[in-house]
Amino acid sequence: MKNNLLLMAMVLIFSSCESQLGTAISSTFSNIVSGDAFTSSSGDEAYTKLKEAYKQKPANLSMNPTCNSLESLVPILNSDSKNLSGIKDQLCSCQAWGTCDSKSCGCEILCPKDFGIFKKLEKGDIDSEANTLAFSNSDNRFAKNDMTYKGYCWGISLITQKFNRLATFSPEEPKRFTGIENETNRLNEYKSIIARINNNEPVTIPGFKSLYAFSADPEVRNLLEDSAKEEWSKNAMTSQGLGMVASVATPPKNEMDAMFDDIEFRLKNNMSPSIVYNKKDSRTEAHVLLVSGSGVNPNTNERYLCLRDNNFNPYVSMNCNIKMILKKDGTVMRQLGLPSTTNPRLGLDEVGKVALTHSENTNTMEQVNNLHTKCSGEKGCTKI
Amino acid sequence: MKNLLLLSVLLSASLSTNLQAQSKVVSAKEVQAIEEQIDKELQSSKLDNKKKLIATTLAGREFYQYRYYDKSKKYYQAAIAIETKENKSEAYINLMAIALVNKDKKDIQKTYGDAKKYFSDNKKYKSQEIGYYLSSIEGFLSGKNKDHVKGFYARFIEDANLVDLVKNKKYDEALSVLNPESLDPSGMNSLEFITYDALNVNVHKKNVKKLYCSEEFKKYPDAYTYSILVCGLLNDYLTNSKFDEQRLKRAEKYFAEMDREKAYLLEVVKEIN
Repeated sequence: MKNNLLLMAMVLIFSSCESQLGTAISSTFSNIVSGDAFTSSSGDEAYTKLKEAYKQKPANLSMNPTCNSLESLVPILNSDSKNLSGIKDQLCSCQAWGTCDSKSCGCEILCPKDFGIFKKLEKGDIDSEANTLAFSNSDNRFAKNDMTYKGYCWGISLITQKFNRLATFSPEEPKRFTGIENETNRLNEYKSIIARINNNEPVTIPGFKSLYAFSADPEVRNLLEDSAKEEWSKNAMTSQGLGMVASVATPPKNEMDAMFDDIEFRLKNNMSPSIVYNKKDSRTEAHVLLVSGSGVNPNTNERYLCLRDNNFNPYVSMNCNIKMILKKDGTVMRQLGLPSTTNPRLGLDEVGKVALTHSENTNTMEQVNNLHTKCSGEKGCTKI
Repeated sequence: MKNLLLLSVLLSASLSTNLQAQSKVVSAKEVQAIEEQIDKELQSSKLDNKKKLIATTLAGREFYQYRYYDKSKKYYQAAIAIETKENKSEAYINLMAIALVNKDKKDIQKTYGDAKKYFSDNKKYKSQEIGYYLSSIEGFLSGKNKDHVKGFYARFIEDANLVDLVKNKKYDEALSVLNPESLDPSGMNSLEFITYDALNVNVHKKNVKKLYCSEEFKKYPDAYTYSILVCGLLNDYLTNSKFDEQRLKRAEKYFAEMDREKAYLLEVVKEIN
């Protein structure tokens, strides 16, 4: 075992990477020796390690609501402010993406290289119409032949999640290219924005107030529809994707509880994870969607997740109207609206397999890395 | 300054359309170093073939995750070349996935043929799921899959089949698989709606009384995108029996420069007159 030169080379190479991801890739390759390699990926390794470190992080490094150094208060006290509320308004916030500068608030607080970097998503409801694409996955073009779930749910979920995490909409800034004379440049700009978001890079989008408004523009919408199809194919048509959609074995109750715990951790840290599941009695009727919340039913004491179902418009999913319920006997049910509903697409279904999508952790880790880099540049935290 | 901005936008858009975007967290320099080291060690180390298969498969998987598809392909191909009876399903499946990402139909055909032979020779690895996958790819390639494969992969196949029918100028048949009454305008159906309108006018000419694209066309008449440009031309024909020349030139420019994949739509429209 110890003379496994490949392993050593991998560890050496990847340890030299600055990113935590590089280290994680090395440990994934190290699993070649233990034989566990096929149950893990570098993204999963990196996520697990960062999660453990994040849980150990002292609370005072996570947030310090205001600047408290005298130095930072001097300019305010010397100004013409005549009342305390005026002074208070000018106090900066010392937290991730906060308004303090790096002199009065540490870079590790302003731009954490961990899940704290998603803090700016805290504002607003993640499942609101504004944070949703202007088109749904619904399609029943061939309804006479086939009533099963069809479409590009995986692509729509990933694009929605990535825009929610990475895009900053700036409606007060004018659009860069307007009019027929600039149409080629405008379309190229939209293509570039979508490509960068798909590559897990943060982007500021001028001239639009929200994801809904951006994706309602037909020039953007058509590009996003194409992109959703491509993202669907990249994920669903892999060996990993096939394994997720085609098995109906529900994980044991203890594993489901652990998955719910992990999803709750992600939700608490402003990540709305993507999950894949299928129907117990129909192995290829699978669906991918985002989770927006969680809870416990006070009457039954059963845990549930709130689902953002891209087969419907966002109003259907709001207020946790669509739930995935973990029953006490370990079965998992998907419930839409009232159980007594007569619509066959609504009601209660037993779920087969449930899992986080296979690219969830890789994407998350790349996003943490890229958001940290962007934040560091903006807040003067870039090492020279 | 504006020129610089323009150049930057054009360059990044050009890169994004011609190349698959690759992860920024694993740099090209690191990838090169990793590759050199893996290749060196695989050639010289005392790893047995089972471990070589695991290592190359893992390299293929990791490069796929970070969107280095050419590198991923190289290692999956290397995995297949290793002499061992161990399960190589992942390599065969993901080589088809890479061909799909690259939209390379010739390569999809080749990798499908290779996979079919492998699973025929190694039936113990051909699970029900893999059978479903192979049927899906077969349907994708053959254009005869409408009632064959159902479930999660169905729409992907149906869409590919529809495009094949249109490209092969089987307009009546293509029209017959579309049911506009059931298409949800709030759904992800822009391509289906405009394809239906174009086919409908091509087949039924002036007898067409309604364009499904009209509402959006009226709202965004100048939008530079296939659905609006084609809708404008169809509207010209139904109103004036000919296309507005300026609009036709603009549409030709769009399909030539921005969206060659859908140029078949313009062919459907041009053949109306």
